[in-house]
Amino acid sequence: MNMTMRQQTPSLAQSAFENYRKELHQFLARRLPSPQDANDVVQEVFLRLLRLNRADLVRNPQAYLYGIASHVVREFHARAKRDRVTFDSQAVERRTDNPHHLWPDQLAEGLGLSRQIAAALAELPAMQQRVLLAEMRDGLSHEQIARELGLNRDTVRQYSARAMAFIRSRWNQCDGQD
Amino acid sequence: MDRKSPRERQDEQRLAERAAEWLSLLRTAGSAERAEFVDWAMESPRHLQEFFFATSIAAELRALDSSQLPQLRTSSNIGSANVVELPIQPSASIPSAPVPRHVRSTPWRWGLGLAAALALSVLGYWQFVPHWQTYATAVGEERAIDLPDGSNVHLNTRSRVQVRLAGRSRDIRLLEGEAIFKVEHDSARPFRVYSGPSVIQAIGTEFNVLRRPFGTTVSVIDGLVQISMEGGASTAPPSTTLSKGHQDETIPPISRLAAGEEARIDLSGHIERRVGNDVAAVAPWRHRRLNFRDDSLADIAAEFNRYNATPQIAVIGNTIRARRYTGSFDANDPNSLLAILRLDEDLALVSTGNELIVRAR
Repeated sequence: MNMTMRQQTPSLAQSAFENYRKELHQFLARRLPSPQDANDVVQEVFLRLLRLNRADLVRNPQAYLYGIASHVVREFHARAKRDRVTFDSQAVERRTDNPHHLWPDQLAEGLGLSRQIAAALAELPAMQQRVLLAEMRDGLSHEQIARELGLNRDTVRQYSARAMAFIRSRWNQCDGQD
Repeated sequence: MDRKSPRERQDEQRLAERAAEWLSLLRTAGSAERAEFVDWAMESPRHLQEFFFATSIAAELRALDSSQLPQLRTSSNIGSANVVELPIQPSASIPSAPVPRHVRSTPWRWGLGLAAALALSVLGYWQFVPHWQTYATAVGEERAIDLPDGSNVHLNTRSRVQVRLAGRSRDIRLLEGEAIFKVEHDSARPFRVYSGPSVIQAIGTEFNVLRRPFGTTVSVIDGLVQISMEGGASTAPPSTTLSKGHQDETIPPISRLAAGEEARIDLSGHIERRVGNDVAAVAPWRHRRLNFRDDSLADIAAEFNRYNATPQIAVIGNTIRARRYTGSFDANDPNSLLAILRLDEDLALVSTGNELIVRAR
């Protein structure tokens, strides 16, 4: 019954898709550090991707990628029967909107991860930090960021990619494996 | 701990950067770039994995709460000298619709002051000169409106209300459609909803009003409301006219309803009451959930179509129509269903104008 939230949401369809994606990200964020799990999931997604019609894929690659991945993840989780699809967008919303509904271990993992990311972020040079937050958190385009920070677009692109790769490398180090 | 050669690390770094670049690029990519991305992603599972890594990091960053980042706020350890300090804190979010920012001059502060003064005077106007404010929703749209008094109006699809908050009363006209009113208690300012000739007065409560061509239905979710007709008598014995179903001999000019009760009021002021409703079942549209348990795709599509003008989902072919699914969806979001169907390799989804056809591939 979150009416004010609803009002702010630009489009319900959009937000549901976002939620759906959030759940996937949370899952991947938990699985990817474990090479075995990550490989299982990624291999399966990859195989299914190869079977898809390329034109469809090109039309909206991200939607297909996330779609397939969340399907695989769901099967991975529940070992659901074929032809039966179980999906609860409300559960997804609850879990993403209200961290208190998370299971304790999930919460701990989630916090650990965001702490890791926050720590890695803090190590970045100030400008890379800003570029990254402006893009990923505030949703600005490279063009807008370039204008905002007085950089040229190529620099923004470079900073963004470099900063992401840096966070990625920290992630690996924390597990001490790959 | 680190067993990797410098070469390996370099490759990893390059791959991670590439994945991050794709992630950024995809937000605005044209079809040529998307095709390139698909090629890249299908080249190796490693690429895919790295892309998923990037999306996960991006998702975490999006969810970052500034309060979690005390380190950022104080990070003044800027290495390079050619970095220009902006007057924003690193952790302060940059507005999503950036306005031209004059970093070194201050005239905008004047503008801001002026705008604030204007906003204040508008606020003053709002409080002292009550006027009617209109809110409306289109087909399929739903909207929640927070009123300045703390009350909330949740408009159902294709509905229209006018709101006037005055010093001594809060008046709402339901011109069309349906709405739930969640009323902030304020005994000095009665909250009244006018629907045709009927007046519904709230007594710290939550209730649904549906206006129809020949009458109004009021359902109370919580608290108490009092119904009267415009210009009608002000008091009458409550609860003497309680009846189940539709036979109702005495026509009271006024009536009270409690939680779970519902009344249908026709244009002449005849009130037909129903008691003993399950509160949870009142105004089901407010829940907007569609739950399916091994239901056929045909039924699921029909249900979604009731709630959404577009797309209208048509399922073709008996085998496909009979396929069974279990799930819980937001009724307003057919895309959540379609996203699931798209993954089914046996199905083809074809969009033609307002219609979306699901058939066997």
